[in-house]
Amino acid sequence: MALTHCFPGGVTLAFPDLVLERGEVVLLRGPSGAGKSTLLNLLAGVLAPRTVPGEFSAATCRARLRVGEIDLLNASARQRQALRPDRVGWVPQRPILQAGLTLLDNLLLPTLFSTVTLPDDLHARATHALDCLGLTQAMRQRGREASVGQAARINLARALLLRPPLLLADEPTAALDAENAERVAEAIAEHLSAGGGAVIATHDAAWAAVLERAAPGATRMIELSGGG
Amino acid sequence: MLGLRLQLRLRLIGAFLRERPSHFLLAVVLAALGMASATAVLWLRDTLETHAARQAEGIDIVVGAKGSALQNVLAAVYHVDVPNGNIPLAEVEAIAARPDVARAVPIALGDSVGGARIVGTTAEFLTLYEARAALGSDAIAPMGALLGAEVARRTGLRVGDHFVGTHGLAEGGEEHDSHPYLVTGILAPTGRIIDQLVVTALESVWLVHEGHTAATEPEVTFALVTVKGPAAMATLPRALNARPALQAAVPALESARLLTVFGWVVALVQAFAWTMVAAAVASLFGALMQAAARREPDFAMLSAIGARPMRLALLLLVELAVVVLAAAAIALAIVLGLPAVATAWVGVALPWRLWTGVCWFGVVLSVTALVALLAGLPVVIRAGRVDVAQQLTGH
Repeated sequence: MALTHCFPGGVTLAFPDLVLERGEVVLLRGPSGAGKSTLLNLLAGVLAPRTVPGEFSAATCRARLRVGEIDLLNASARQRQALRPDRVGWVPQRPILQAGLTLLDNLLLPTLFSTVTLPDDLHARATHALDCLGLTQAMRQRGREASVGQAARINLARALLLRPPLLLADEPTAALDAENAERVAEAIAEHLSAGGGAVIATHDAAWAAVLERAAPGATRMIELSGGG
Repeated sequence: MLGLRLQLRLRLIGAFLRERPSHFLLAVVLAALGMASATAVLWLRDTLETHAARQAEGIDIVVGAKGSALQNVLAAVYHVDVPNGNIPLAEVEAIAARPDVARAVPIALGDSVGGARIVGTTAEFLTLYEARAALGSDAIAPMGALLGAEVARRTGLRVGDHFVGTHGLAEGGEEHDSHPYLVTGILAPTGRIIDQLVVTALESVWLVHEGHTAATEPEVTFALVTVKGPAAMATLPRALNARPALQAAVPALESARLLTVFGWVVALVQAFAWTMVAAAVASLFGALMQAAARREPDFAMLSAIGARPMRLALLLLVELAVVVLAAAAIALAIVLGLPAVATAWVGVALPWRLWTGVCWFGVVLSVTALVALLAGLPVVIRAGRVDVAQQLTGH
């Protein structure tokens, strides 16, 4: 049985079956309202699944939604929350930086909420991420001084900093020029080659091709129609 | 790595506070003024009560002419009212000779200088007020004057100067030009009413008023009586009141009666103090509400990268705690400066007890912080449960 999600207003979205392997990236495509962001929000654990209008009952539902060993259909809000930042790195559609912190501090913020021991090479990782995404020169800038493109790249670097197994990104290149979009593709390819998986919503067919070139054979495309 | 997390946490809170410095400063200043005003009012009330009680220390009974007992106490102890009349010195000597009386100090009033009352008395008056000369001599001599510390400061008179008294207890009376006083000493400050008096011998007052009264025997205005034990307090006032010329008044009773009459003033002062606390609470609550509203996108972002609701609520509480601590530091500085400002402004060295002020400050701070926290708790909890999907994706 396919996963569906009912919004309180009555709109219901249906999603095709999807199993993500390590080292694989699934690109979600489809018109606005097809459910790309909704699926990412469900996987990120920020949206509680509702498979039928009214109260959700796991007992009568045969759909499955799992991230690793976490069954999101039966998970509590606390369990869903616990996915981030160690198991899931999430790049939301609207990138937000803390205005008073530097870009470097913004990048390091997930360390405050990680429940695992922080790696010794954290600073090296941060420096590498900033370098890969062309942000080394800007790392001392405050969040309020950052452009939308810089904010989007910091959001991606932040999601990947603790090397979570799953990366979820919602239109990560929407505000980027071709050069920076390519940098983003390379950073995601590096994540995949390290054994991570990714689900990415994008409208950008050209960038999808760039990602395919950066991670050959790892890209799979799923077209969402949103039909409930 | 704990170092990195701690540093980052501090920088995050610092960034929150720096984001709207004017809002932060306004909240701090309003809360500080509220807490300082409340503490000041409560501390001042305590200090004035202590001050009033200190003026009557050692004076168990005031004996004066028949009339209002309260008026006699106000005139003899606090020097703020006019006496009912005079009493014979012989009566005072008889009181002093009683076995249940430790001391009966005669005082004769009638004149003043620069608004300060001239008190004709004996050396026991200085003993009663534990006063000693800071400059010159502390011997009480006819037409010699010992100036209370505050009188010396206000009039600028120095040892060796001459002055004349004016008739009556207020400024503007007839001057006794023919009987100048010589300043023989200046008393050290005591924090009691003697600081605001000019002390001279009984003979000075009699000499200045020679021919002005029809009295055939020496008279004084009051006797300040110290009894030997509590038993005397039960019997002596009644015995003295039985005498046709005398009125015995107990300062402690008269002060209590006065406080009963003006109890509403005390209640009003207390109400004002707690209104100030409420203002401080409102200021902190306002700061919390503003912070919660402003932080919604920040909290959504932090939640997106894994912050639990409790962590977000704690961030808001730390922000509130910084405002409270900054306000408390300013309020404490204002409160501690109060005695110096009050002394310079009013000119009276009140018996400020630091410990009392600090205790009142602790009470005001605790009440303010606790009420602000309780009032703000729903705001804090709601802020922790930010709708991430709504904030960051519009879903």
